[in-house]
Amino acid sequence: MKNQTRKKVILWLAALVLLVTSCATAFASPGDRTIRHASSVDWNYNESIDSVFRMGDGFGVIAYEDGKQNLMKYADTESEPEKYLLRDNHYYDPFGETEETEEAQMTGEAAEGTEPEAGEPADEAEIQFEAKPETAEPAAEDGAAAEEKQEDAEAADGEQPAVEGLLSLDDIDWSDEALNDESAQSAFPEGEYYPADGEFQEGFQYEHETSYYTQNWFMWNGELYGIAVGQDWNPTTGEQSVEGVKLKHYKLEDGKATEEDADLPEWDYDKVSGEVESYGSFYLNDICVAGDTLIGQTWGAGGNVIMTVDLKTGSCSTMNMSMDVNVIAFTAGPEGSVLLGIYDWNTQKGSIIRKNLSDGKEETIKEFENGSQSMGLCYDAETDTLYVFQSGELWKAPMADLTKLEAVNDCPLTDCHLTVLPKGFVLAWNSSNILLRNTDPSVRGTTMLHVEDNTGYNQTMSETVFSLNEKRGDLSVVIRQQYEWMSGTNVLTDMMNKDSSTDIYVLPYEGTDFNALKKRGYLADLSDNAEIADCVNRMYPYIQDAMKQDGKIICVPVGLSGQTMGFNYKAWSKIGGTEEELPKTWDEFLDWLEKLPERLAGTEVKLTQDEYMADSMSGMLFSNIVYEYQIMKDSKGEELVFNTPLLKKLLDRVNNFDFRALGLKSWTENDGDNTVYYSENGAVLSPYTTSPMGQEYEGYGEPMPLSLEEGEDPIIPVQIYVACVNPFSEHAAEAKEFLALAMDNLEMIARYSFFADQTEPLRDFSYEQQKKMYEKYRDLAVKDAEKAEEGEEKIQAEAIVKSWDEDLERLETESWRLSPERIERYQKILPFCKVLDHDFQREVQNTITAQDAQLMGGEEDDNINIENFLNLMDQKMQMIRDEGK
Amino acid sequence: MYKKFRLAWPFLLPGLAGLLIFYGIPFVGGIWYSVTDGKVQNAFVGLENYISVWNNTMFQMGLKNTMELSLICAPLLFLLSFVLAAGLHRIRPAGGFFRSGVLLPYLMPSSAILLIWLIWFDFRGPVNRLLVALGGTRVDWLVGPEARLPVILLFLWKNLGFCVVIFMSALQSIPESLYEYATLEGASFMKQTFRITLPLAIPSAFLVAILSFVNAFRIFKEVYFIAGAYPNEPLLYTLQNYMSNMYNQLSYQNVTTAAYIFAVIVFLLFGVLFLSQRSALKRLNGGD
Repeated sequence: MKNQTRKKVILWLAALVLLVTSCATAFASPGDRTIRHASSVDWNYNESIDSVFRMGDGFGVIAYEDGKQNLMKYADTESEPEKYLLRDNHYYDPFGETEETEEAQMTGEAAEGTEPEAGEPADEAEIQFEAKPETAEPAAEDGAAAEEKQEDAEAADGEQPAVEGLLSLDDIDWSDEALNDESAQSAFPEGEYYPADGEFQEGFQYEHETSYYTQNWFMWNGELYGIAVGQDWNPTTGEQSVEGVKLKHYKLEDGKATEEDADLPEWDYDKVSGEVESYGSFYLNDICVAGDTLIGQTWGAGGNVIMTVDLKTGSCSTMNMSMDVNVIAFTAGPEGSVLLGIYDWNTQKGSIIRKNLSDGKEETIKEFENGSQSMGLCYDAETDTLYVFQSGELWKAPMADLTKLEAVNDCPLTDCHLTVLPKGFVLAWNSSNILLRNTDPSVRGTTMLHVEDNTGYNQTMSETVFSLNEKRGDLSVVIRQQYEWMSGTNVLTDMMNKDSSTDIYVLPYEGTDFNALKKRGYLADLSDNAEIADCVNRMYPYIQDAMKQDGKIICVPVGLSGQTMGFNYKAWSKIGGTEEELPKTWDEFLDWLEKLPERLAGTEVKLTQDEYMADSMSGMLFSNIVYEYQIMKDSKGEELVFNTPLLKKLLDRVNNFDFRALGLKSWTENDGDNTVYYSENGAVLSPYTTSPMGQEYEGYGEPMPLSLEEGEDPIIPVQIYVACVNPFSEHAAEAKEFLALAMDNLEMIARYSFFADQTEPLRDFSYEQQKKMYEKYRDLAVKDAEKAEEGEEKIQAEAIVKSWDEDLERLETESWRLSPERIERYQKILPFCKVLDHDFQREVQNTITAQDAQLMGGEEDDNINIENFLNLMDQKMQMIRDEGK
Repeated sequence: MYKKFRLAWPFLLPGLAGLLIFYGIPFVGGIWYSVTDGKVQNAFVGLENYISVWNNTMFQMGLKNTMELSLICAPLLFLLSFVLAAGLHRIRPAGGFFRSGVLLPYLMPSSAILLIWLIWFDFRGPVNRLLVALGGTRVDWLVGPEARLPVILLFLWKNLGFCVVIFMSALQSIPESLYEYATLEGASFMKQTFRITLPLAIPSAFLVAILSFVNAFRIFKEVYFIAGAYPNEPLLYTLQNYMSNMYNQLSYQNVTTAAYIFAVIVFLLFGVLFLSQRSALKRLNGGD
């Protein structure tokens, strides 16, 4: 009887345990919510988050999407947002997506629309505009343009393109008559955007009004305000200047956030302008309000500056921070202080400094032994609590006792700001994501995965967490990201100690650490995860081979890392170059390179994107040749000896090559203005390209297949980052599940480089919108042409139609993220792609001491003694090899 | 006697515990690693590692260089420290400044000393300038086989002070009356040295000899700072280089194996030293 009762109790207990564990997902991290998320591996720069601030019990978000800037007001942490239109910039979609606007356009209403005077602010639907037909350039014609656009989008994190005084596209009459009409032209005053002949002449009178950009927003006394900075730019001198700062107030009604001049005292900005401006611009970062004081930090002529503004009086004041501190986070602290997150690149340690605004006194209040290079800070005055984002986690502690700092939740973002909310919630946000996080450590996920990501920049791990959260709420993931070359890894000590605290390591495949793990079998077998096995089977054979050891899958690729010289096929074809003309061997390449300036003379295509790369070009070719040589020897199964006539001859040629004769300069010759010259029309060679398909955007260059000597196959060294599972991990199954998801979250170029089934060309993000816009312009032009009278008018109208046809054609051929030609070229070079599995070059170079360098020094300062260099490489490599025997 | 022994335990225990935890257990525990294959399953391989490490050319090179460096450095250190200690002992109490000063290099961080050394022995540094001034030619002290000299000098400079202090404490513990009595009996300085000073200083001398060898065996920082993990000059590759490089390759079975082989050699050497000390003491005391 007793036994039966005991059995029953055990059964009940077991049932209870089952019930609790099965509901774990539901219990995990209650309150955590992804408010907004944009993929960071496939980033669409049409969207960005500009500002996040607390609004009463909830919060406000100012975000840019589809050409519109909106304020999203969340009444509390659980509610859906009320949307208020702040600005309709319509940069990417001038016709808008609403039916009303569409209809208005199609019926030609826009052509009859009002034409505001130049510089006069339009009520809404304003646009930062470049006059037609220059705007008709495809979004990503070449790498430089694409990068500029990406930078613009990145800058949108804080800087708003909302320009007061510019025109709405809806307000512009695009008809031929209107464009030829003087009054219409006055809407595009000459010189404001483009002078008539495209070049600024001496004595050209530049007339314009200052444009006020609303940079950032804050709440004070329950009202929303914005800081608008008057920015002026003189195209004649190329100088920009700040004309003033205005405070704007926003009225939220009828779905609109109406901007008006704030009824607050004007700032005495002139008093501090000399200290807070840098190169004629002013931007106040990380703004926060403490009482009636607005606090922010900026970069002025003298370095980091803290700026405070008394909102009641408009009085501005500044306080300098030490020049040598690297501020990575900033927030208002208790009792009139600010808190600064600091990262010291020398000691590789992070710390928090409290600085009193009254006397400037600084005190280090917290040091992080293993701090990461990014940090977020916020202080909750109501509960006197400090919240910190560090190393992939949110931490909190009472301000009075920071020794109690404890990790309370995970945060997959690699870098973020923090905004404190009521009831212990915190918003972690950056330009693409807003995450709501509770700060009660007792409700964290029941299983925690730790990822040590040594790529330093790759977003795949971070992105995978978002996918995992949708699938497994009970799993909490902490990512610690660092640069392997900077901080070193913990892998070896972890393995020695059979440490299970890190579940996944992301390492360079060719690095010493990964090789040590591989050689000793310290890599969990991933083959038992069907999804991983399937993913690996879909990869190109040369990648598959690298992922396997003795038939088992030991790692998965998560990114590409190497630095190979890039060749821009598009720029080459622009100057009439054909693939047949391209060199096949390194020797031929150097001959070809010598003659390249002649070939480029008189064209708009440049040799390199950056003229200060005489040294890096030499180093790059040097290491490319050595890598290729190493792989060639490996693949032939020959013993690696560096000092051979073949390698010596090639390196000697590179060493003695006159890169200055190509028009390149050394970095040391940089005149100090740090100008990097990019050619809009592209450059034939680029300093690096990491993948065998080139970079994320078209025109950055792809690897050029070159062989070491005639009769040999070319070799393209591919350097990759891989993720592997700690064999001692207590959550190996979950770690594998995570890695399987990571395969769906690879950066585009990695995805296409790794997977054999990824062969569909990819259009540029803005392709559809651009196409739609061009077609509509063309339709309008066709209508005008039909209406035009025979003669000069008709000819002109038809010329406009033709110009739109050409633009459309160019859009079709050039608006690619990944063009069919690029994919085709990759398919062609596939047999020559080899994963670099051991970086002897780097390993040996790491052991080179000052004395070795002295030994390698050639007679001339720039050159090295190739014979000595190769002997040294051989000697050191022989030692490494002998040690391993 | 028993009571005295019992009283000693509380004083001995902390030290013994530390020794046991940080040296004893890891030393014994490490034996297991030296007989396994070092892979994740850690399979038992018997003496395979000992055979492969013993036959490894780099281990042999490291061992040979370490032994050579030790056999040069340790006797030099022993002799110099004895001479210096005897000299300082003679000039006391005036030698107080020197007695303190001699310890300074020992207290300085190796990296700081090394920086000075690199400047001194640079091709255009003070040592070469002195050589040129004396009519000689410049020598590349930090590159070729000559790099051993700065390493040896650096080792001596750094470790001399500590050994001098030990010797001096031994010399100072010899009752002055013994020398006075010997002088009255007409004993010469040499006789006093061999009959009084040496027999009474032998236990300390033994300690200094052991320390000299131990420190010489551990020459690494000096070499590493000057020549790196894989010295351009093979003569500078020590056993510590081998072990450090093996550790970086996660080959800790080779690290432990090399350590045990070396430990056996060191024990044998210390055994010889111990026997020499015993027979020296016997000869000096009982030989009469």
